[in-house]
Amino acid sequence: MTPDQYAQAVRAALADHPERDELLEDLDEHLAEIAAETDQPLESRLGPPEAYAEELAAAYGERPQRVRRRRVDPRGWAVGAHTRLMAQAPYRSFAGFLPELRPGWWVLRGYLLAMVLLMVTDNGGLVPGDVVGWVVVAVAVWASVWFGRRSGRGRRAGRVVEITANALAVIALMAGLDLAASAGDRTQVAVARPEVWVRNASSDGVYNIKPYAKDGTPLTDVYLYDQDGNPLITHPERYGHTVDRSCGEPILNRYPLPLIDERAVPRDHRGMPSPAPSVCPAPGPAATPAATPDPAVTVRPVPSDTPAPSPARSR
Amino acid sequence: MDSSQLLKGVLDLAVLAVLKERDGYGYDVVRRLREAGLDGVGDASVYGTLRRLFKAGALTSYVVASDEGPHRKYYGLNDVGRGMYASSARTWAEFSATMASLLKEAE
Repeated sequence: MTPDQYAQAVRAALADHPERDELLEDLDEHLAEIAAETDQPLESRLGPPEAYAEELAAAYGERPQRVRRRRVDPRGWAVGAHTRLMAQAPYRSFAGFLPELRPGWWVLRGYLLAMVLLMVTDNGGLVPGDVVGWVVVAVAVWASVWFGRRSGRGRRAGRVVEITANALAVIALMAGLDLAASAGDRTQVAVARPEVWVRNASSDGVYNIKPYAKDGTPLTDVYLYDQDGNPLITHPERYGHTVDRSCGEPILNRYPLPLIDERAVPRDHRGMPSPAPSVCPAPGPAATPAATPDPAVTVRPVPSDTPAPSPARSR
Repeated sequence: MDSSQLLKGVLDLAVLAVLKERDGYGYDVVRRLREAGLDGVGDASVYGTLRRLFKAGALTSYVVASDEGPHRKYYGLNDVGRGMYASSARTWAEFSATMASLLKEAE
């Protein structure tokens, strides 16, 4: 740190001292004297500028040291830190690059403030929802850039407005990021939420259920429920099949479901019969499953009490 | 006992004593105090004390151009400073005599 930089940091640290100028009148000469005597850096010789400033103020009097120590001076601290960091080349290039980002910040600031405005009028979000919103954004961006270009030769009121606008924009940015992040979370939750599907361990997916009686008779209009009494639902649409709604909205837990493509192809790939009801079922849920016997079974008379074998399976 | 705590109370007198001997600029005063044996004296403390004594009207100051280095602001005692030195020195002499006899009795 050169004597100039050190003196600047000391001045910054004493920014709120009522007699700073008197106190530091010949600080520059004094520091130059010390620097001239030795090659040792000023910081290692005198300690950090903030501590030097504190000792100086304590020796000068006027203020009790304790008060000085407790008073938080963020601006002085920031200036001091900046001065010390400027000695580092990476920080220097970073600080040199920052002004080039300024116009970008003006645009972003305008956008953020416009979104705050739209949020207040209950029209907000991350992107404007309509033409009015985009117009507001355009006007705000223009105003922000105009204000940014003319600040710097600013009066005090202008500085206050600028600081307020920047702070508000930063808050809006944080809130917007938070909103975007939580929106992302919500989407994931919706995708991840387990739906109560019928699953089958031995096949890739279940989109229809074909119940059979003990003797191999295909059953129709079988209502299926889970242990809690909730209807068991399959989702044929997810497997590329369509529920036949020609008879009106079918009851989705009445199996087998009438599927359009299954009617066209009566047998599925396993060669199993597809017993879809040939007539539209009576509306309203039936309390008990009604087994419609296979025609192959019913045409045969049952002469005795012994149950008929299962001819449907014998082909 | 930390001598730097004691030094705080008598730094004014020490600075006045150095300047009574002959005028000096800030860093010169620091150096002469250290050469006199006050190793713990802080640069900022001496500089702050000089500025306070100057503000209190005890010191005169004048700038001397220097060929090899920066311009030097010299400080020297004026009448007020000399009076301040005399009364402080008397106070210190009495105080240290009291302390010395106290310590002697305790032995």
